[in-house]
Amino acid sequence: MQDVTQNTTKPDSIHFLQDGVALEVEVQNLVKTFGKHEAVKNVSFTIGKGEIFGLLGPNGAGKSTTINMMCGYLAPTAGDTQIGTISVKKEPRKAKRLIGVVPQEIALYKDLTSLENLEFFGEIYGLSAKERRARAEEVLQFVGLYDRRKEAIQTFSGGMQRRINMAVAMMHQPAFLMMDEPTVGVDPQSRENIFETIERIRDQGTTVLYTTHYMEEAERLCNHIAIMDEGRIIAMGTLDQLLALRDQQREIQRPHGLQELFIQLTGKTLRD
Amino acid sequence: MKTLWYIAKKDLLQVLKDRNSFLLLLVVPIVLMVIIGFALGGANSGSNQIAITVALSNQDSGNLGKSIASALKIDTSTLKVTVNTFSDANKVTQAVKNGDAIAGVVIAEGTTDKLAAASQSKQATNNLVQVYALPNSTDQRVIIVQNLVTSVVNQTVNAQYAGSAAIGQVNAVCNQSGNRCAPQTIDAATIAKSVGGASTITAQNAQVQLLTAGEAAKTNFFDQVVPGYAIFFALFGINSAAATILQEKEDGTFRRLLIAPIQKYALLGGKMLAQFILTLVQLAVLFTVGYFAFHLDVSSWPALILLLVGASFATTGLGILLVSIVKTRRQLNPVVTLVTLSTSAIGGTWFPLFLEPTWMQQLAKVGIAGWAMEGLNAVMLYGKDLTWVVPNILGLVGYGVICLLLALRFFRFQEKVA
Repeated sequence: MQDVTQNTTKPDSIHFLQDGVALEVEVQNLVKTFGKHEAVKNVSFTIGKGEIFGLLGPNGAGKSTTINMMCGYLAPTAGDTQIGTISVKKEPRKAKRLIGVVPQEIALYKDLTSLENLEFFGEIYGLSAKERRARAEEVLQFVGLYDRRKEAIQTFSGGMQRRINMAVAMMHQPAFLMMDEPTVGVDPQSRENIFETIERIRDQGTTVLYTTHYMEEAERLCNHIAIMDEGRIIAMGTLDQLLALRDQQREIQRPHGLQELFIQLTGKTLRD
Repeated sequence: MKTLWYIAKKDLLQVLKDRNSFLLLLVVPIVLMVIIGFALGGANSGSNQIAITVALSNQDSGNLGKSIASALKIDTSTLKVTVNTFSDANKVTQAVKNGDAIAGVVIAEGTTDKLAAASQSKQATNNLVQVYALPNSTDQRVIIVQNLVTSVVNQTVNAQYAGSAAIGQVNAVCNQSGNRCAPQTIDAATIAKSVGGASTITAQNAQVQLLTAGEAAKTNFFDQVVPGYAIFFALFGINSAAATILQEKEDGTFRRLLIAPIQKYALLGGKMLAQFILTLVQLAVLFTVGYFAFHLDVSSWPALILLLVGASFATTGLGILLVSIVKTRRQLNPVVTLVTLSTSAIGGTWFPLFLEPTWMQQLAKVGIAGWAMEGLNAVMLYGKDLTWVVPNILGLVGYGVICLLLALRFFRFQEKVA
């Protein structure tokens, strides 16, 4: 098996995601406890090479904790995540080079320009000065904000900030991109732009984990979907497989199929 | 190391872009230093001369009045007395009352004659000359005037008594057997006047010579104000530096950096490096402005530089420790304000440490200001060299190290995520 770390981190080309190697991601029996509270209970799933995997669940279901363990931010109480052949637990720094995370919040330096933000994160990921500038310009063009590169983030609309939030995660050409509710609070136009960007990323071979509360987003984007609740995965499969699960019991109208399934599986009780 | 610098560089770029930070870092301290420095006597900075204005009403035509008026005419490098003369004694008290004169001196008509008569009759003399000052005045300049006048009066009184004693002695000698004096040649008044006058001249001319030893205490208040307010604002800088870490935590950029393939201690180190550089630059700029604009007196540049480096390091350590203890920026503000104001107040940033009681000077060492100001006072007020302030430099470095060790123990890199 080839050394994926070398292939994805050696910046001998500046073509956007062309050199990225699609990797399978395997989550193995992840457990996380905070004191007596077990936030994630033995979660396992596999994301195929170059596919978009949807992770759905109500607030407090354990999605964010799972993502935090997968990207090496939180140490799991038990279990591990394999990015290709790299273990996040055993080789966190190596694994982190393969991972890009689009956080739910706008995690940007709002007083800096979009170009300064991208170049800073490029430095952090070890890109040379020449590569940083070239990559920053590429991803800015990719998200359609090249013309605004010298403007401070705080002058951007919510949708534009979301796109830069994504661009930062793409700076180092990650083989595996985790997106935590990337469309929260954006208008339909910006949301459509984000969808198109994600589809282009997938088409270029990047493996994507996508969490959302919007069922139509999962229906549109995801090859496979897992529904989490109370720290567990309670259903998992392709959209058709999940709908078939419910169709066995009663007729579900397709446009709202996943929404109904979600409510039936997780209940109507309000969550924090 | 590169990561450390990248993070520090980004923080410094953010500060440069923030006009408010720049104002608080440099402009506000300089403005305040200028105001306080001049308010505390900076207008006389660089001069050791004490200036006194005296209102004088001399109605005496004799030696005493002339002697006092003459004695008050002083214009030396250390003391200058300006005498405003009035014929009316009421105008003297009015001048004192209005603040036009520090002290007023009234010598009534016939004072010398009164003194002569008293000495011939060997009676005591009291309240010959009046010196006026504001009630409850603690102004040392009033005491100087009073001492000058008292000195002249005492000398004149002594001279008068010396004249009387001389006449008595002449008569005693003439009356001895074998001696013969023509009685008409012994003019008692002339003898008394001659002896008294000679004594008075001697008294005027043979003043105690004032010499100096060692170095005069500096009266350039900027030597206290510039270091004091520089350290005070460096401590206040903790607020903005620490707030950037908390802001990054709140905005999610801290988590984003922790997800990146860097050491978490490099992240903290980068933030510390930025704060250290900022504090050092702030102190360096304030002292440079102070040196060129207010003629600061620095006895040892290496000592000053090491003290500033030590103070910057200690401030950085304290900033990281405070961030480790508090959770939000809202919590940070009162904590930094309390720590900064209390340690600055007792640490000698607003007034010299030597004005404080001994126990408070010792208590000052609980804060950075106490260590820093003791050293800076030594270098800028007392002319001490590097060896003298080594304990202060080590104290500052030790302070920073202790804060950092505690910070590493308590700092929370990850927040709980449900």
